[in-house]
Amino acid sequence: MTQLDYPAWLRIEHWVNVLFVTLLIRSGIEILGTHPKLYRGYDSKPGSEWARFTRKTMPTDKLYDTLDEEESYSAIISLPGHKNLGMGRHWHFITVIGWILTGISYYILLFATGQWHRYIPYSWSIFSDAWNDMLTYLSFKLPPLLPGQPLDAIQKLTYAGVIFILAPFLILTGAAQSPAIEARFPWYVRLWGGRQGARSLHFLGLLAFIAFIAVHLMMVGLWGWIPLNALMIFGHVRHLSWALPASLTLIAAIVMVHVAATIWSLRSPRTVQRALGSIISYGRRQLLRPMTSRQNYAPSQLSTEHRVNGKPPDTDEYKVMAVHDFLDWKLDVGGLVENPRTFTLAELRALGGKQTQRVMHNCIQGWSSIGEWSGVPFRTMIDLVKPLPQARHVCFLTMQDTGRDEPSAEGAGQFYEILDLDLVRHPQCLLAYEMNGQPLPIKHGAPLRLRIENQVGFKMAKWIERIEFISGYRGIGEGMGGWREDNVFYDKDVAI
Amino acid sequence: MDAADTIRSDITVLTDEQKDRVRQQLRRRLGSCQHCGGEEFLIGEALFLGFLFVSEDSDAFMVALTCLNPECPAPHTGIRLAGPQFL
Amino acid sequence: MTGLLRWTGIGKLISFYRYIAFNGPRVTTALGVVLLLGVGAIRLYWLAGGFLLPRYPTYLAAFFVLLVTTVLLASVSMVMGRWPGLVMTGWALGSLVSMASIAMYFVSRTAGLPDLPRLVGRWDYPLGTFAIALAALFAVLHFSVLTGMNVAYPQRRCWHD
Repeated sequence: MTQLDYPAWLRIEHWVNVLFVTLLIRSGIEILGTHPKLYRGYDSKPGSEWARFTRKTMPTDKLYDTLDEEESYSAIISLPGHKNLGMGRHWHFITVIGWILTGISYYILLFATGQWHRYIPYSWSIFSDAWNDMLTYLSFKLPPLLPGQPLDAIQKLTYAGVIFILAPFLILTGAAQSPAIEARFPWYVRLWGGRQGARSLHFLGLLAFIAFIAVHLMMVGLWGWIPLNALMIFGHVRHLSWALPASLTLIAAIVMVHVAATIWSLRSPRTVQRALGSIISYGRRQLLRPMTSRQNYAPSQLSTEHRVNGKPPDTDEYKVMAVHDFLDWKLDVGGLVENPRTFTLAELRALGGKQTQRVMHNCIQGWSSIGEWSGVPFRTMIDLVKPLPQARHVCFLTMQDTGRDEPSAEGAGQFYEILDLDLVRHPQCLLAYEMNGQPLPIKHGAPLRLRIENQVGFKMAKWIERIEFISGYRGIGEGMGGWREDNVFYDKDVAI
Repeated sequence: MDAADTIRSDITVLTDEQKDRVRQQLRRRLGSCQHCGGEEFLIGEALFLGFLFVSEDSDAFMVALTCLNPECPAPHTGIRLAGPQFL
Repeated sequence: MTGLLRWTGIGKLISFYRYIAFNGPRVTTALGVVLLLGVGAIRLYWLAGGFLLPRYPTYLAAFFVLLVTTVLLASVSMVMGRWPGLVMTGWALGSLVSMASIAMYFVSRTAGLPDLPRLVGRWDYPLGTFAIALAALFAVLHFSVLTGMNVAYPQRRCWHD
């Protein structure tokens, strides 16, 4: 039988986990704050949430969007705080990568070294032992350790639960919130009770982890902070006079990493975006980019209230166009193409081959809705205009000026988004002019919007007026690949 | 019925009586086409602005006007009215 | 007062608390009823002879009977959705019973109850700890309803957005 002691790899991974889990919690709360409402099922019908973490109320006489609902949380509980979803996501995803890699190595080492028995019980009697331990704790006494093991029965079961059930649960429910995974595997979303079901479960997992940490710290305190920290730092109950300062130093170091991450994100978000985003985007491109959407939700699943993000162009020109059913609107398609074209709405309709898809919209803020969209497959547009060999991206320019039209957004300027050419060739990439069997409503992007179903919602430009095929985007805006990328530091490729 | 033939959900269809009231408002304001100066318009439907647009008053509408001058370079225009003025 | 709240950090905690709201009236009421019935069931068990001591004084038995009766009354009131006033009275009764049971337990272990000196210092009784935990949880749940964090049946949230 393997000696269940504290080898170096176990101790190192413990402290690395402390850092990772705390980063995940703080960055997770930042993400939650961007749409601080939790729902059941598939969509986010206003008023149907089972929990909310905001005191804001929305007007009934004016269009509001989900940017208006965004909350600003303190940097103490969220990373980095103060309405910085872009930064929160970068920290969350980079930590996820680290946590998963740490977890995989932990599992491998546990089983390779025989240390797995510190968590997996030797016999079924563990359950009756755990029950007795519970009664002992309720008597305000400490139960005995399991023979030859460094923990009691209920601790063993709890650790097993956290390491083999709770941690994978959080990863799996997190994955269920990726537009790419949902689009490619709609059954996976169903498994978790819907997109919002997965999000709510992910939140409950967060609460479970916080509860575990609180009880764990209490237990370490009750059983002996100094000897237990000596075990988890030195591997033996030795050098006891060093254990307390060593543990406090480690905790202080972890806190300093949090402080540094917060300050770096608030002071220099562009560098965080570039540094962390490049790693995360590499992972996305390898794992998630190949996933094409195969969604076909039933008509009965269409959301009765499809949420809105972004407000329409507040200009007389747009309003006059709208009241005349967009007869005067034209779509310019050009740039690096053989055949630049201009289309009226009627000409787009007349292209034929209208495609209809019932799909889930995933906003970066976390809400979702299911809608039916109809329009021109973007592949048709590509075939018509014939991009030149050097064209690698497509830029969608809109009639929205964020500074003028969107008071809740940070930043100003024409809203635009850029997507890679290979992405817009996906079968469910659509230029939509209809929604739910009706002409596209103004609040959803009339007369034309983009649908790209394995990406997060902000990429799906609304109120489009021009499409340009380009070879690079460093010279456009701030050079990050879109308005939100330029101004609020999101990534350009957002399959999660 | 094809969606292309459906009236947009944002549009308020006006009755003849309501269109007459719009015409009266137009005359009161001595409205003329900004592109050609024409004073004869076809009155169309209305778009409720107050809910959708940040800068608009809560009862603001845009009513579609089409300039009847056949030589007008840009005949589609509109007039902004408050709901009680024509509804 | 505001300065005091801010300085002690209590202001921040209250502010944090007020950010949280749940919309589960039936779940809240169901949880409250389960907690309260748990408090009552334990006293019933003690009355039926599972009690710590071979003999218990009449006043304590009477207290347990009163407690169990009140628990049942409160539980039934809490689900009478047609009469919201009765529902809130049920919750209040539940909190009263919870506080009384906690107080009795504490007094029995500290100052001591008449004819029950052996209970003094006997904190090491798991069922007793569990009983006060249930009672405390009910009181906290009721507090959350009173302060608006939760709604209890038949209340509904008026969240339109």
